[in-house]
Amino acid sequence: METFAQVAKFTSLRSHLALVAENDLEREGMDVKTAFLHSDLEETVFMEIPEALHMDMPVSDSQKEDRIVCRLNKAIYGLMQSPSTWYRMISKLFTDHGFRRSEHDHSIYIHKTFKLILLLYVDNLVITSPNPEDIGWIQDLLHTEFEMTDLRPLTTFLAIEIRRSHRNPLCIIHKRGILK
Amino acid sequence: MFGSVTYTLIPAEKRRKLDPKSAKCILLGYDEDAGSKVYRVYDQGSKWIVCPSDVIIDEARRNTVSEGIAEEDEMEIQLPEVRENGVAERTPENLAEQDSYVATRNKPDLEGFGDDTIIVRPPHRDNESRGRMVSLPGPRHSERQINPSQHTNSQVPRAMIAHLDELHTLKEALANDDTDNWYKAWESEVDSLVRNKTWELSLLPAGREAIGCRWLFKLKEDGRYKVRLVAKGYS
Repeated sequence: METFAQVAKFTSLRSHLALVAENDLEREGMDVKTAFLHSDLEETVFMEIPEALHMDMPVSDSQKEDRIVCRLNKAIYGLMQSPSTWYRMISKLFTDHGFRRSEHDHSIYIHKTFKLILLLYVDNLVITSPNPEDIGWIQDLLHTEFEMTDLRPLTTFLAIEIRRSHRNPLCIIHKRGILK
Repeated sequence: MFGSVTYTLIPAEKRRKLDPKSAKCILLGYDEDAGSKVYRVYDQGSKWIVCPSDVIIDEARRNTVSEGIAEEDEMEIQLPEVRENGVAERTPENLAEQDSYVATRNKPDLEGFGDDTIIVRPPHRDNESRGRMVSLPGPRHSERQINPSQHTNSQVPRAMIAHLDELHTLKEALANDDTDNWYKAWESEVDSLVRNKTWELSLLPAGREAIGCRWLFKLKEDGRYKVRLVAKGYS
């Protein structure tokens, strides 16, 4: 069973943001809502019916003694394999739509024809491009596939605050809440 | 051993005939890069951390220092400011600690320790002592002695206890002051679970186990209420 899930290296995020600052690129942050629930589970897993949910199904007399449980379709949070199931699913979606996965960091996706760079961190996504239209294209695609939250303009990513001044196209990054 | 008084050999070219041959330091540990034969010591005179190889360690005499020094990663050691008369300044910040240590200068039995020697006495056990001073562990005692004071505990405001950012049961969440917010967050999670067709009801086949699950309630840093159904592992 595959349990390893790739996340972006911090070096990648820093270089990504440096690229944005240097070239004054457009940049959007997106967040997949309940990401794991979008990916199909390969194994058969049974789970107790969650507390406070009343669910029942018709059973024949001979089955009266059996327990009714949930057979999971999706990679629910808390399962060991959920992060990797999710990663493989979203990774396939990107490569199916013309992205090439970086060989140096498997959480970086670069589009072959559109000018787009994606950085993936589990269910967090940073999209970078010189063209707002290209960003719109990938955003629309993601919105049709998943329930997404747009974080525009991107101000925090993984507890890092990202600020941008328009007079001087520069990202100011600093870690927040380290002392907590 | 950490905290031991250490005499570091001063190289011959750096001293003159009548100068001391060694400098008194505090042993901090070993220099990992150079191997175990090289020590890492804090020189109280020069206030440098140095890595000499010629040292004499006096295990019996230990220099006790404040909590801050116990963090090995910190290369900078902050000693409390000492006034001319040798008593630590009673600022509001260190008022709490005033009973816990006495700073001395040139105290007779500590001759040669250098001017900045700070002697830390173990904190008193009574309620008066609010200082979080820690005495360094002795030999074979690796755990730091932290002196919990009842005074501090009793001062935790009740509101803080009621405002934990994680609740453990649905009942707890719905009995909370923020019932409405938690309920909305819970509904939203149930909605996601249903819309994504997360599961189908089924009869548990013979010989199979069903894993447990629970609702997780989290108050996010930005004030959002998050409820998530989490399965308890998978075997």
